[in-house]
Amino acid sequence: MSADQKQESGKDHGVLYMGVDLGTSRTSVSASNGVRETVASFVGYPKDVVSQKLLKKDVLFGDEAVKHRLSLDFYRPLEKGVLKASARDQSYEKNLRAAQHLIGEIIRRAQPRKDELVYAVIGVPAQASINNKEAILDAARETVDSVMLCSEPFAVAYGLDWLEDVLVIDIGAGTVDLCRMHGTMPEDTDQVTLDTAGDSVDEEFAKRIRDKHPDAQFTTQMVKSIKERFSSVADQMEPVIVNLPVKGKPTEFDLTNELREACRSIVPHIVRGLGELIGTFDPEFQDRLKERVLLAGGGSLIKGLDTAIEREMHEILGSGKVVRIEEPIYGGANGALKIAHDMPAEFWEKLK
Amino acid sequence: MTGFPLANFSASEQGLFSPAEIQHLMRIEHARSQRYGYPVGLLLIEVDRLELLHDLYGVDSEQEILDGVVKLLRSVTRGSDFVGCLVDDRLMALFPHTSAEGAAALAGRLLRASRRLAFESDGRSLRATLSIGVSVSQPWSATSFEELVESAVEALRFAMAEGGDRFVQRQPASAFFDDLRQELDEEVRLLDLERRGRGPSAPPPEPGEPPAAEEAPAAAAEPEPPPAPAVPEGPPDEELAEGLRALFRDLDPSSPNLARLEEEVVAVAQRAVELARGRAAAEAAGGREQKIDLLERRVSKLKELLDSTEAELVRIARAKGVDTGIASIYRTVQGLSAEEESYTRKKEMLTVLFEANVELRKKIQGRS
Repeated sequence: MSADQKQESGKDHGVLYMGVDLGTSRTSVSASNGVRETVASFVGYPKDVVSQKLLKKDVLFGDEAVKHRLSLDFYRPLEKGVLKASARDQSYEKNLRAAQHLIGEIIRRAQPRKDELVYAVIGVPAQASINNKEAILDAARETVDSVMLCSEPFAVAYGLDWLEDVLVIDIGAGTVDLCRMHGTMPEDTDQVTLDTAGDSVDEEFAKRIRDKHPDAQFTTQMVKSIKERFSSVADQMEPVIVNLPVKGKPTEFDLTNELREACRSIVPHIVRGLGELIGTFDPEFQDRLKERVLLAGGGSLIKGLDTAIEREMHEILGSGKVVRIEEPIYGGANGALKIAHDMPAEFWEKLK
Repeated sequence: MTGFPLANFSASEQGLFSPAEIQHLMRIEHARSQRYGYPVGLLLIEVDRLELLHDLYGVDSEQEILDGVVKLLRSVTRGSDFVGCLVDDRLMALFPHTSAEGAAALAGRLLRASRRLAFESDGRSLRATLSIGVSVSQPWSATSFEELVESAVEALRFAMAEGGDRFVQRQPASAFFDDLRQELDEEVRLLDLERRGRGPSAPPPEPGEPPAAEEAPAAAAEPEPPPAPAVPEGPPDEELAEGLRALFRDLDPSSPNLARLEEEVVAVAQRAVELARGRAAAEAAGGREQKIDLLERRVSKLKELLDSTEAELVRIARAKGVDTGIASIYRTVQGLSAEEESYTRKKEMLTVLFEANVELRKKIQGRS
């Protein structure tokens, strides 16, 4: 950027890069000022004047919104990996507004300075529609100087410099994104999106609990919390002993088997998707691809999942090697940040 | 001194008093200082990057470091001089009878001593640095204990944000604005007095009354009453001359050169009066210049006060959660380095990504 352009914009004290990962369950940001923040992808608006006065806020996010959800109009705007805005019903505008507020909030949490240029790359699910992308861009433009969108699994691979002959499995709450990297920008045929993801595990877990313990009372949020605390696919796992109310009385339950089986339920879907991507790849490099599978996303925190996928790959596809990335929560955001950093200045200027 | 026990830095119940009780003692000491008019200093001390040290070297090293800092604090002070406790891995210590200068000196001593501290973990030598927030409550300043703590917390935040290994001192907001208000009131009062040309005890003029300068004795005859000594009051020049002539008339009229002598004496006397008047005028002019200098100095001081007020407002804005942001590590746009291992491949990917975004913009604009 030339000095003249800097003076015009009135911002000449630095450039802040931001990488944002928009997820169904969690939204994260990594920024070049050292800030890394994550917030659960929930948005809530006080239902009435009384709750507004009590909460002292017009909009709540993340865990705070969950805590006060009974007093809020509560939204989870990024369900199934896309904005819940595809159906043109009454909730469309509201979900759109919630998504935009969520994006504004995560950018605000990166604590950008007003005297700095802010360049952001936002990772979006591979199959986000043009409507969704437009909404994301509009929301981001209110607080950043220039913004680009990229595919989330691509951001993960770019961040780790795994650009060739790599299969990325990004397990989120709403979707599992599989992406094939072969040294160039992945195309649509290089990406597969599965609906069976973290939320599906919650549903399966809840179903199994209801089948085994019909008297137990619980909510989706409670099931999710138990899963996040104990999730594992291993034969030998920490016992899942929790208290759930039965007709108002806290009662102890052992949910170990139910949780294990629920977590295992996504493995066949993932391996089937991998098979699809491997099977359509250059046969000469298929074995190499199978040996370089990267596991990312919040769902990768399920203990033993990498080994379980490997085992299934050996059974179905003949071989496989799965590596879990070190920072599942921030892997996408870190990768998006690296893309932002590497993007040439003139590209940012043209997109202002 | 206060009779309180030695500082209890226990975060558990093992000490003589619990942290909550220690903080209660601090409130009492602070209230006493307000009532009897002596300053108290509050130091809030945090070990820089303590969590990272914990992650790298374990919880034992963290405790060892905290113990080391507590011992250090006792070594650089008189142990009976303060009340202290641990709150969320921060050391809070209250020092009665400690002025702003004293608190700053103490913080400086603590920092210098901490740089010489060394710890060991698994055979590795560790060093720890400190960030210190300092706040002082002045006597009769009506500063509450909460304001004192908030000011120290903010100062600590500044110290850590600036990289640690330093102390920052802040005045509680209420005390700062009290001082500022008093200074400004005094400045305005002095300026007003000088504008009127009156001393503090003179009554103010009635509305419509001519300014006091115009009522000065005729011998002064200046538009403004000068602060320098005025021309001594006395008869007009012609009267003086007549008085001297009268003296000569009393002399023997037959004396030779009497008339000439009379005229010379009168001329000398008149010149003496003129000289005295000239000196007085010069002194008055010098007085005006002095007044201008004084006013200029006061304007300069007011400007300094305004600058510090602005800085204080920024601080308060931060304390109230109005975030001014954290600076990026980059001063300029970066871009892909040509020395990057997969430079060509990455450049290609980034170009494709950029073009996809341009295409997306066009599609969106085409729809709207």
